[in-house]
Amino acid sequence: MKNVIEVKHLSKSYKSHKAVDDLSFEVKEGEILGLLGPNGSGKTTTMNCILALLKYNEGEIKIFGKEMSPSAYDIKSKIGVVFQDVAVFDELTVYGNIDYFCGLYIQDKTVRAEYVEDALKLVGLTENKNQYPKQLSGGLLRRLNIACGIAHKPKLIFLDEPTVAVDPQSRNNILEGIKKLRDSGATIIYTTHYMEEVEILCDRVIILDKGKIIASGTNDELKALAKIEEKVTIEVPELSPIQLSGFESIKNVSEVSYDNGVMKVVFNKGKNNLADMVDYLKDNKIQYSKIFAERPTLNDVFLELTGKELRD
Amino acid sequence: MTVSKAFWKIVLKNISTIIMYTVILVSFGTVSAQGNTSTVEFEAVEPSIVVFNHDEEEGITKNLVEYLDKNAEIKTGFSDDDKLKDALFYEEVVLVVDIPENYNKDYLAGKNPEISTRSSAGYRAELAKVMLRRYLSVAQSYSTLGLDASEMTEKINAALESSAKVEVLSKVDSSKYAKASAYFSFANYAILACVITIICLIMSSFNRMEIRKRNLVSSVAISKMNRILLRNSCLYAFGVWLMYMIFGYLVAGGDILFSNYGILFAVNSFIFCIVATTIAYLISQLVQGRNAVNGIMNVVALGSSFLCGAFVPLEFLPESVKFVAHALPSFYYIDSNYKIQALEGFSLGEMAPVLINMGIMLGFAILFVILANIIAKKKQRVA
Amino acid sequence: MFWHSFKYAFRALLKSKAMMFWTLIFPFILAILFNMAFARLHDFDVFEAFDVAVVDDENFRDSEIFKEAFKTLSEEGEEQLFVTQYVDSEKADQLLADEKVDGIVYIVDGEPHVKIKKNGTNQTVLTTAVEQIYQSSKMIEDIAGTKINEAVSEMSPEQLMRGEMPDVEKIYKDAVATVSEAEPNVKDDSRVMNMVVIEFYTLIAMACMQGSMLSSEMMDRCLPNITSRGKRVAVAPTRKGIVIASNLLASYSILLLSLIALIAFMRFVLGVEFGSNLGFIILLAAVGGLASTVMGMMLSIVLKTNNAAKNVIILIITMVGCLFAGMFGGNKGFFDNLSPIINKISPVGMITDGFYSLYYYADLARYFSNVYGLLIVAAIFMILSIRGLRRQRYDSI
Repeated sequence: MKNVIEVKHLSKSYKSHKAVDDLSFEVKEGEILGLLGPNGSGKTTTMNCILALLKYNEGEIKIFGKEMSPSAYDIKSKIGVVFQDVAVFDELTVYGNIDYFCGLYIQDKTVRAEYVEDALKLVGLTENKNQYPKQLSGGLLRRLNIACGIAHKPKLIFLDEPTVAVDPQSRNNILEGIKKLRDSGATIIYTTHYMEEVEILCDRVIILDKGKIIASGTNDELKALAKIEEKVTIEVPELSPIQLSGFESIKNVSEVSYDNGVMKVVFNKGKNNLADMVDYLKDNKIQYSKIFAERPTLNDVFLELTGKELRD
Repeated sequence: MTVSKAFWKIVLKNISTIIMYTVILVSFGTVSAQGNTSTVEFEAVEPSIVVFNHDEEEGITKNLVEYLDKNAEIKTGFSDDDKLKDALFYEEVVLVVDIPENYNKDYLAGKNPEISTRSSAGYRAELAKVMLRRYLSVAQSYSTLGLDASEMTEKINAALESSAKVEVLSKVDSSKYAKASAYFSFANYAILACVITIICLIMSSFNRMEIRKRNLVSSVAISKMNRILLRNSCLYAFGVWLMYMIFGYLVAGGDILFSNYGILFAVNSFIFCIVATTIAYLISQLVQGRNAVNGIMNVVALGSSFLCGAFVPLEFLPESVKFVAHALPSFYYIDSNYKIQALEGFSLGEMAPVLINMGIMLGFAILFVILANIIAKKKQRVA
Repeated sequence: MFWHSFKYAFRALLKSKAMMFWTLIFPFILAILFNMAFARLHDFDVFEAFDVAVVDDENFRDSEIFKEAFKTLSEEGEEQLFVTQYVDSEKADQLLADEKVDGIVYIVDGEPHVKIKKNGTNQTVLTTAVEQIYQSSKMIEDIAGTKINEAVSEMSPEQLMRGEMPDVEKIYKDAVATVSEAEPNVKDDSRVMNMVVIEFYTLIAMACMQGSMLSSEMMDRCLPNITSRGKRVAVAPTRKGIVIASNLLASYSILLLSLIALIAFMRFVLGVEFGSNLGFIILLAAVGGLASTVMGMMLSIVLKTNNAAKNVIILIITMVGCLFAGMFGGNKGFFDNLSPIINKISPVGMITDGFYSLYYYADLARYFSNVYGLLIVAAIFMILSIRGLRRQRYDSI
């Protein structure tokens, strides 16, 4: 796999505040890379530096093997960007907006008309193409925002929090669309603070905090960092302290807590943990109503690495 | 007191707008205090003219120049023709008289030598021309008698002496308060602009906040918030009024302050500020957003200022315009200013027209509040 | 590429209600208001006859000349000066007190008296007219007396002995003719110039200044540090200069079209005088609009602030400029004397002065000095803009 983007030792500070601190990573062709981190962790700044919008203090950025600069038009022509804010013209129709921005990349009118229709289809706005942005709901507006950024069929796509404040239907549509883009051969950098999306969507994830990479890898690689295998939650109406302490003796259990009729048991490794647990409940004739197990999330990873939750 | 705080924060944010209209008002007031735009008091002012005498200063020529000097202010220092042209255009000089060579000799020989003039447009130039023509007609009439220069000048001057006895009934010198009345009339524009812009901007930003707060189930009841907003709006309008009064007394001269005239001007303006506040309240029910507010404000403020005589004295407005203007509160405010200026006494009978105007303005204020409330109610029902 | 961007920028502007209101509709509304407010100042030569009362007593009836004169001056027609009511003195006083008439004329011992309530235009006209009539009557008597004396002194003693008298009636008639036909030989070289046109010129200048608002809005759309739409432009493989130029050209075209519509409306509907050379009028509007467009662009780049603050600054430059240029019934001449520099550097001042000199001056030197002045201002703003734009990456966005 070729590297589409190579970032080496990127640093950027606003006055005394270091927004990005010695960042190095690469993006491989055809993958969806997730940039995950809480607000203010430097995701958007990193993206803007890569796009040569921002000055940076140190570092080297290469896209498609060439150095990125404001006038690197051959590189820019292969990039599509979807910014965090909705950036459209209120005075132009849905079609007009997509056509305008697409026109900054594609000169040929017939090709462009085809591309704009494709973009409309991709985000599901074909029926709304003659409406004005003001007539669109928040979710549809976000979809338009995406269409404007990707209509020219770029090879490399940056998406900056495209699903903020979007209804579930539009969110699914957007995520499906992004997968389609990847399937058609585009490389995607996806910035978000929603870990669920990253888990569903991304082939590889970089977790950022305070401008630094604190972890990177595939979902499974990252989850291994959480030092948790699974979390089991059981509703137990009655439980004596002796029974409770008995749980800790089960193989692989690292943590047990009981509160208000709900018991949580954390296993740090191993397999068939849930079966062991059910056996224990049966053996001790403990009544329980509900039982379910969870795999660790990226939030657990983040918690493990930084000592705080991903979302405040 | 967060609502009040937010209110005054928005006022401070828009302070540049307030300053701008105030600067315009005060500059206008100062210019009009120079008296060169006031057409009302031109009787007292001698027209400014320029005389180019190409003849010897003797005989009839000398007499003509002396006559002009007596009846007009002869200005000098216009050797640059462009400067003279500008002065003519802006009525700093209204008439230029060119006395040709050999005027005296030709005149005494019974010819009627040509005097060439250039004049500006407008009434003062017309008056100056009448003055010149009057002399020349008299001189022409006597030229047939075949007299010598000294007899001729004697006769001409004797004829020009003849004047009508003019009795002016009004005991007050109404021009004394002309500056004040021009200033306060112009204030129509500044008051409307400042009051409407700021109050409407505040109302529209609070309306937006209101929606947000309702979603968050605000601790401040809407009715209570409206009351606080209204109180602060009135306080703000009062502040505008106070500021314009102070500037008014500075521009129009301090002695007006302690006269009955000054008090009437102040009361009149105060009532108009109330009307302006209610207009702002009404507009804030109709439109929202900075652009819309600015648009409506400009149309309302400039429109009523032009139609009601804030920029151009009422007496120069065509009858049709004045007729339309009766439908606007500004008309009664400005009309009052001119009536106060011309007041001779302060008996109830004499002040009646002014008091009626004030009553009409208050009527407008009530009407606007009622309209605004009707619109607000309708909007609530729709929502 | 250029035209693609131009087409959409142009279309977007046309669709923007706020922008179209300020550039097109607002100046039209103002022009109509100006026309209404200044209508009478505008056509000052259309004099409206006003009401006067003449005390119709014996004194008046004895004075042939006054009787004749008032009859003539009150005759309906173009020359009519007065609408005269002949009443007794009580009724006259009542009419004056009720402001039904502007003045009363009455004669005592052959001398005219004028009674007015307060000074004013009509009162001045009345007084002047009465004085002229009185003066003429005295001159007629004087001239007739002199002529009769002359005639008598020319007679031979025999004629006098025979009791012959000169033809007094004829001499008197001649004297009346001499006085009434005495026409001063005055040639007025000036074209009738009307100060009110300045108001309309400042209005065009103001309309030109709306170009700043248009262009700063268009500029904001291209700048990544101000709008997200600007970021899109910045990451596109198109020269930023091309996108900016096409946007500004779109705003300038709209401005120019509005200005031409406004000038045509003023000229052909409202009848405002502009001088004869249409080409120079359009050139001035074009140059003024250019200076204002570049100014808006410069402010957008240099100020790096939100649109509202920019618009306030543009508004202040425009309105204060308008005040100094003579809007609001102000006097440009006065401000020129007060502070000559302001109208020399303010675009509003230069545009207004340009129209003024085109209308008033025969030679074009002053007109072109204003045109060059505006071009210099535009060039300075352009240099500042380009310096600001050179920096292609931002410290923060």
